[in-house]
Amino acid sequence: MNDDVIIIGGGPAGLSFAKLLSVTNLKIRIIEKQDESVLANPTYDGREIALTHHSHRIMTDIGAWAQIPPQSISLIKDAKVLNGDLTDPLFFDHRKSGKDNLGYMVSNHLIRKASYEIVKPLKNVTLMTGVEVADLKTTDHFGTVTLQGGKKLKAKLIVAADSRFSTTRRMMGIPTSMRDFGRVCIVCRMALDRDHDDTAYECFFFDRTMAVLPLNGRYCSVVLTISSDNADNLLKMSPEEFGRDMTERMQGKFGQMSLDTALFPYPLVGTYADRFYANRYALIGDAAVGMHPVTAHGFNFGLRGAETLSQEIQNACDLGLDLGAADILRRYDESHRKATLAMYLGTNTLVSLYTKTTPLAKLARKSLLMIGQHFPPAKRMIMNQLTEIHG
Amino acid sequence: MKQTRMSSKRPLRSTINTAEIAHFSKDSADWWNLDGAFAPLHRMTPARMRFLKDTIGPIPGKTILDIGCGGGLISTPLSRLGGHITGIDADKQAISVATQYAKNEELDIQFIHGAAEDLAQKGETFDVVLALEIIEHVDHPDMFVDLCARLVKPDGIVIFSTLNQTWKSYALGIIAAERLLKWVPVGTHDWKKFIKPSELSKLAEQSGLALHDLKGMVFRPLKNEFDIDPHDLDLNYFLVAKPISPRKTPPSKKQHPK
Repeated sequence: MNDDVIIIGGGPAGLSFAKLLSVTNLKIRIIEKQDESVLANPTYDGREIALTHHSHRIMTDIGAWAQIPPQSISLIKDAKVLNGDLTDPLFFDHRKSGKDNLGYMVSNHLIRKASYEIVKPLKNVTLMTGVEVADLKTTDHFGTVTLQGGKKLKAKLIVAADSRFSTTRRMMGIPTSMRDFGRVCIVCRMALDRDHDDTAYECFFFDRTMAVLPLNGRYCSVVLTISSDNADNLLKMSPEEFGRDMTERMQGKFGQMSLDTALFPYPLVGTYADRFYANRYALIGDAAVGMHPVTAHGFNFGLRGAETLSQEIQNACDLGLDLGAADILRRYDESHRKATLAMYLGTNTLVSLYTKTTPLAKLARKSLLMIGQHFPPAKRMIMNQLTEIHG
Repeated sequence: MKQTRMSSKRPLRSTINTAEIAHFSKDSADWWNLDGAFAPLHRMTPARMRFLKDTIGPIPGKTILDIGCGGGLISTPLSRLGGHITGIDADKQAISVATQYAKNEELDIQFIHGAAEDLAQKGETFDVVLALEIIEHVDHPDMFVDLCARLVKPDGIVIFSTLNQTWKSYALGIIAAERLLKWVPVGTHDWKKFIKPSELSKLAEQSGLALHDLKGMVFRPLKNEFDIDPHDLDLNYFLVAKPISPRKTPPSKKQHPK
C-alpha cells in the first residue's frame, strides 16, 4: 500500500481536508489535474466567498485564515433580503446574532492560495499535480486509482473532491440529483459611490436574483443569476452600460455603481449526491453537495464536510479501526446529510419561487418575506442556518 | 519454586464446548460483514476498543492474547495500535478468516486454531489476556478463569467481558437481539450460562486474581451505539483482574552488602 488516503482534487475542499487529516500522521496523497503553479498562484476568478463563523473557526484552526491578508477580509455585518421592487425587506441584524458580524467575505483565489500554502509544508501529504485519474476500482480492503499513463496507486480510502461534476463519482456508481437552473451565474466586483454599511443585499428581481455583498471600502461583489438567453445580452454590454443597468436596478442605493473587474460567467447547476460514500470511497466538497450560490453556502458546506469526515477518520484511527470501513463512512454520510439537505432543498425551492413571475408566486414570496420579518423564530432559524453561528 | 497461584493446582482440561463452536462456525464466512451475523459485535467494537485502550494503557510493544478471537474483530485493531497479538479460537473457519483478513490488511498477527490450554501447557504468558464475550460460551467457567490466570504475566492484566445474568440481559440479549431484532442468530446465547459480576469476581479470586475494575457496556438507542457506563452492569460488563502479587519481603538491611 502506497498511501492511507488518496484525495482526488486539490481545490480548497480537498486541500483543507488534507490539512485537517494530516494530524493523524496517515500517509495522504492529493491528485490534482492542474499544474502546481496554478495552485500556488491562483488568479482572480471573480468569486468572493461568504464564510460563516463555523468556516472561520475551521480556517483559523488549520492556519488558513492567517494566510489571508487582513485587508482582504471583509465583514458582513447585516443582511437584507429584498423583493422584486426593493420593498418589504427581511432584515438580519448582527446585533441579534450575538456576534459582531454575520459572516466574512474573502476572494476565492485567496482561499485557494491559503489552502495550498498550509498543505505544501506537510511531511505526510504528497501533492501530485498535472495528473488525471483514468480509473478507480475498490475492493474489500483498498481502492486503486489508475492515472492516465497507467500508473496505479493504492490506498485504504479514496476521497473525491473533484467538483460537482465529479467523474470518479460516476465511476463509483453514485447517483446524483442535478438541477440545471437553466440560468447563468455572473460574478464581478463593482465600485460604489456610497457606503454599503457592511450590509449584504439579496435581491429577488422578477427575472434575476442578485446578491450585492460588501467588500472593504466602497466595493462590492455582485452575484447575478439570470436566464441563459438574457445572460448573453448582459455579457455583451460595455462596462459603462452594465454599470448604468446595475445602478438603475438598485435605484441609486449605492450611488453610481461601476464595474471594477471583468464579468465572470459560470453555469448554474445544483447537485446533491444520493450517497456521500461508496465502498472505500467518500465524497466531499462540491462533489457531495453543489449548492446554488445565492445562499453562499457552497464552500462552507465543503469545509464542514471535510471536518466531519476527518473527525470520523481520526476517531477510527485512535481506536485502531479500519479507516475506510463502511460504518465510518456511513456515519459521515448521515451527519453531513443532516447538515446540508434542508438547506439544499430550501435554496432550490426559494430560487424557483423567486424567479417565477406568476402572480401566485409573487404573492407567495411577499408573504414569505413578511412571515420572515414578523415572526422572530423563523428569522432566527434562517439566520442560524445562514451564519452557522452555533456551530 | 513455590506455587502461589491456585490455578496451577488444578488440572488443565478443555473448556471448549463443541456445540458452541459449531454454532459460530456456520457463520464464520460472515465475520467481517458489518451487516451480517456478527453485526452487534461490530457495533460494539468502538466502545470495546475505547475501554481496552483506557484499561491497557500504552499498547505498542505489549503482548496480548485474545482468547476466542473469532474473525479477529478485536485482534486486528489492537494490532494496528502496535500490540503483539496472538489470537486463538477453536473455530478453524474463524481463524482462517482472521488470518486472511490480517494478511489483506498487511498486519502481523499470530492466529492459532486451537485451545488456549495448549498455550498454557507450553508455559506461555502474556501482558494482557483478553476473554471477551467468551466465558458464557465455555464449559466449566471456573476452569476457564483458572486458565486465564495461568496465561497472564505476574504484572499483567486479564480482561473479561460477558453478559450479566439479569432479567434485562434476558429481555435484551436473548428476546430482543435474537428473536425481535434478529441482530444475532437464534441460539447464540444461553441465558443459563450467563454469569453475574459477583460470581465472576469470585471465580477470579479463586484463581489468584484480584478484581481491578468493573464497568458496564450499555446500548444507547438514540445514538444507535454502545457505550461504556461505570454503573450499569445489567446487560454486558467488563471485569478487569490482576494477579495477586506474591507478598514481597521488604529489602532487609542485613542482606545489604555492607
